[in-house]
Amino acid sequence: MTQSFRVPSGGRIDRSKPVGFDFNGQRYEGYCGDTLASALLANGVRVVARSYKYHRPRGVMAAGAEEPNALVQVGSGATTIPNLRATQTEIVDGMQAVSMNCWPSVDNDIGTVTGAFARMLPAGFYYKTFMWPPQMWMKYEHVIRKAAGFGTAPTVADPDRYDKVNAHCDVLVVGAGPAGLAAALSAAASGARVIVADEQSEFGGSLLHSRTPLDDAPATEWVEKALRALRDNADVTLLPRSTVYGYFDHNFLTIAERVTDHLAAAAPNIPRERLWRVRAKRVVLATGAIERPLVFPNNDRPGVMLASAVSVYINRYAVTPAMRAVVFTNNDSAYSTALDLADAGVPVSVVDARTNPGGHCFEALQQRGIEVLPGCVVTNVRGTKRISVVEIGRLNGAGDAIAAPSGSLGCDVLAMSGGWSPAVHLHAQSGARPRFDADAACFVPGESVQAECSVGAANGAMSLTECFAQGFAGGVAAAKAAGRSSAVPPKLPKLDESAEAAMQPLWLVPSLTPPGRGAKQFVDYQNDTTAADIQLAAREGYRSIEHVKRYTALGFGTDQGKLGNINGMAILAASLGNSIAATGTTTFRPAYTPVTFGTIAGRDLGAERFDPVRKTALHGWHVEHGAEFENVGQWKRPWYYPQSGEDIRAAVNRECLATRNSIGILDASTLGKIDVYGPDAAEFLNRIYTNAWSKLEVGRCRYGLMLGEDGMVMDDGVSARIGEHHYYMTTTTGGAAHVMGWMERWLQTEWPELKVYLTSVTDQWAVMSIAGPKSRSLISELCDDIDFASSAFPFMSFRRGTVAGVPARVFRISFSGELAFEINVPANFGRYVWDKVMAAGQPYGITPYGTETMHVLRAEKGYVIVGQDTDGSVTPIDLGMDWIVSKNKDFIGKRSLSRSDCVRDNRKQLVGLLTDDPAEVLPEGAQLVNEPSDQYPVPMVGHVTSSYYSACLGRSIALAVVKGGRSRMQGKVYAALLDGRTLSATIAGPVFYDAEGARQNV
Amino acid sequence: MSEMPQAQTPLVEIDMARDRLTAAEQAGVVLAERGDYRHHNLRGDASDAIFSEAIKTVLGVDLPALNRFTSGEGHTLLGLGPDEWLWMTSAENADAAVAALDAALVKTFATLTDLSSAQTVIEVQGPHAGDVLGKGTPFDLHAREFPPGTCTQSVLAKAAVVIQRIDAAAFHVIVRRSFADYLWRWLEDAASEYGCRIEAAERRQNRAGTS
Repeated sequence: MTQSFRVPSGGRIDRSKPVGFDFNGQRYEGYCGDTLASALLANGVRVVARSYKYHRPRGVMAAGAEEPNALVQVGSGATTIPNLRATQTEIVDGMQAVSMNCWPSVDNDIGTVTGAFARMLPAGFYYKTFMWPPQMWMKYEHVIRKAAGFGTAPTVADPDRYDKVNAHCDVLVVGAGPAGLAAALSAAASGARVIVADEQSEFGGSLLHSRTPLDDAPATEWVEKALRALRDNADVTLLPRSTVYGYFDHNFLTIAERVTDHLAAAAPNIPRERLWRVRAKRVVLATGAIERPLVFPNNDRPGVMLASAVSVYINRYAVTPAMRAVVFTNNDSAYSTALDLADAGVPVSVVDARTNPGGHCFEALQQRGIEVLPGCVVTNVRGTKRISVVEIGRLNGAGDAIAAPSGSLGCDVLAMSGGWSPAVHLHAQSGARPRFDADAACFVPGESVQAECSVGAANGAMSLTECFAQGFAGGVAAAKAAGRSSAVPPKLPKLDESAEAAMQPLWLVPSLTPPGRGAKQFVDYQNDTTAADIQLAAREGYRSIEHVKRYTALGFGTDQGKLGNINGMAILAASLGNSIAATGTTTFRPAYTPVTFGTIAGRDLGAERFDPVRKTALHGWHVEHGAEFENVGQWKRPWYYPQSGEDIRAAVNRECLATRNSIGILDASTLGKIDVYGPDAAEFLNRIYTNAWSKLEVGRCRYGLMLGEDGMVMDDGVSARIGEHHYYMTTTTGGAAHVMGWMERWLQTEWPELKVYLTSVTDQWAVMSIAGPKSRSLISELCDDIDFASSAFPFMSFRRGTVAGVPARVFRISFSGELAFEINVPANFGRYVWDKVMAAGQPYGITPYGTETMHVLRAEKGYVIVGQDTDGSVTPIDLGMDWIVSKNKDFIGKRSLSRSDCVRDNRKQLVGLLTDDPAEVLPEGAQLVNEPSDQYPVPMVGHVTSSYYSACLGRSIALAVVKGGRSRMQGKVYAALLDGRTLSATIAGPVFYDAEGARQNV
Repeated sequence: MSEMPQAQTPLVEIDMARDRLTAAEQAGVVLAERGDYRHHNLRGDASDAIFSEAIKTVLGVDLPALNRFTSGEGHTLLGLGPDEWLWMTSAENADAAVAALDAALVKTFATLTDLSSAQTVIEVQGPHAGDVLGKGTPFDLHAREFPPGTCTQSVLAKAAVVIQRIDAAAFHVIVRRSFADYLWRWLEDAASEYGCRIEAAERRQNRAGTS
């Protein structure tokens, strides 16, 4: 077959550019400008998929986003995409597409067996049958899913690029049909910044297949002119192939732009898809309307199509899908499809449910000699893979039953129209509630909740004149509301349009057999939901449309019921004896059409960009010296520095011993650092920390603990008084940003009277901590303007000086229990000074150590790490740090410490644990019990917070929180391990090494 | 110590020894590090005459309003908050200016904090400079809303930044040292679709400042 259904001329395809593609393994040819659906129709391919539940053969039904059947998987391997609508997929040379939902092939599908037993598969069948007994569901589901199959996900990483952009505009126009283009033109003429997004490859919407001349020329010429005007305006952004798929709070909308899929080859680094995050002052929704199918027996057979889709294929794609056609309608709009068919040389008859069709459109058909059967409906369709005959019945006087069969008509396409449903999806996503317009028999936009308005068919306007008028007015109003109004708005195109006669609502076409008895009357094609299913749900007691949706699957799936929902709601309303307005709609949620994960992820992928990698000024040195890194918040910190052949334990043992015996050096640059400046700085610290700061002398340091308002330990660190009104605060690495924000909040909202300025200086200083008995000799070699004698520079004090020629702040503080100095230099000189320290340290065997050794050294000393030994439920009293909690002043969290829960006896308290087998290291997080037992649950009395092997002590040590632990010294606790063993341990004090602190006071 | 201490800017891992990637005439975006500025955070009360006079006298520029910047004599002042400014300078007499400001500000409640090592400037320019930044910041960079002479504190990708509009097609992004390497790599990747050019930066020695 070689495009035998192609009309010889016309359409918007480029006949000079043939495009070859594969569908289900067979080679076809189409033209540039074709969608996969139009190219398949041109080639006479009628069965494109199998239905979800009954595996019935299905053909292309629509021409846009609402297509329920023609779902394809495009591409293969890493770049494949499932669930694409063939109607929205442009063909490119070499494209490979396969049908979904069919196995082994679309023509011989094994699942049709389900169709044969269809009567045994009513609505809710899966729930009723497979959910009980519950344990069997896992088995059933496996089989059901395989038979259902909604495409396959790629199993390897996606090699394509995706990107995200932020955009702002005065007016976002969604949809570039007549109303949308009119709105964009008038908003742009008013000087507004405008974004126009349309999901199709070409702007123009219905004008691309319209029969109505504009300004006495084909409508497409007006479209060209409009686009030229918009392109010439630097403040207008035109986004074709861009689906506005989400409307969120604060007029924030998301657009998925398909950038390269329609190109056979794209330039390097161009993203395949782009996610636009748009913040719009005003939104104009010109999303058009979706034609409703009619619900009659076998209304899903290949060849049954929406009437408007038939017109689109003929006029826009130059494809006539029919040899002989029947139009079945309840309104005038399908009459133009009959004319399009006649123009294309296809014999056509019209079956009209209205008893007395008339008016201009009717007359136009009469003039063309097209037969119209008034007061008739289609009662059945014959033909399985391609329709051949439709059976006609005459309605009774009330129009609610078939009075008599009225013969049949041969045809291979049945073009149906049940009226139009405005695409209110985005309006509803914005938080508004569409309302039912009984006269127009459709849901139309309700009252706006956000700064949006709907225009054109999306607003229920069904004539072109009205669409233009609403579009122009909407664009002007939106621009004005956004503060732009100047130029003369462009003028409306001249057009001559026949008025349409009234439509006659027809939700469920009367048939010769009741629903459920004869052939199926499909409501939701994608989910195989029938009219009988909805009526059954109503009989079984379902009342809410939301419940019926979940029971029958009405409106699920990739199309979210774009075709079927309104009919389904109306059928439910009739079954319940309710109005459609009272029955209401289900909730419209993003995404309007499916969005790929790639688009949502964008470039925020991989080790480099998923999350920031914060590096210290000394990072390069650590890399050069083989450090293994640990993530601490977003920072990369050296974890340990393995030498050849060392595992982590060997490396850490070596680093610990070197520090205790000579000198270790740690990159401590990541600690949070905050300059606290002002005459009230001491008072401020008094309120922030639990201990008193007023009497700290200039040049001295103090350890401080911060609590939350709940009295629980929040952060800690050493702060130094470096000037009369100037303190240099340190915080934990991970808590730095929170502490900064927390303190600013108190200053700005609660204590504005305090004269204090806070400045984060975390990044300004590179900090190297040298620890160990030889650290004083080493630093003395590098600095000649500080007296390092113990009496001149005592423990917990601070000096300014010059280290290796660089101005430095030197702190004599220790987190290891050893004699230690922290050298702070401006970070740009960090690497220089570190290199000098390492060089000078060689004779001492200076040993770099990482966070693991830091943890072991501090645990030997019983120093807690906030966030490891505390978890937001630990008070300073629980930690045994009563000494740091002032009784003589107020501070944040103080009141909470006297809550009854904070003073009860059996709170978990910090203790040390010594395993009875000194070689065993308890796992951190292990739950502790008083007695091993087989009786479950065993009461938990605490858990291990820190646990290491201490090379210095030659045994394991651990810190733990244990209920009433401090009164249980020498008592036993037990930890059950994952491998089934139970370890016993003895409760001890938390300080394991140098309890008197002699080593740091030398 | 007779040896001159060597400084490294935060972007030490990025190759900026020479111009690279796209040729100048094809580049949609040009990235360069401007490591030659000294940065100080300035806090004070703009209505305090001692404070504002000290700034005017020492730097020769007026305190700018919030989200604006003023430049002159090698000094730039950016209004970051109601009582917060960033002073950036590449002036020869910067040391003297720091000392003079320190001395003047002692007389009132105001503070000057050296951040010369804490942050750096990434210059983003070219016809697509705004497009690249727009990928990462939710802030509206349209010239109507953000003309030359304005600045903002915002986020870019996942880093907190100050963005300065230098002219129609040039921005300065001021970023914390520890985020600079991440942000540079993010920018280089973001700019690749437009043709990204890296301009060699003279990693100019940034004096050690004070402790």
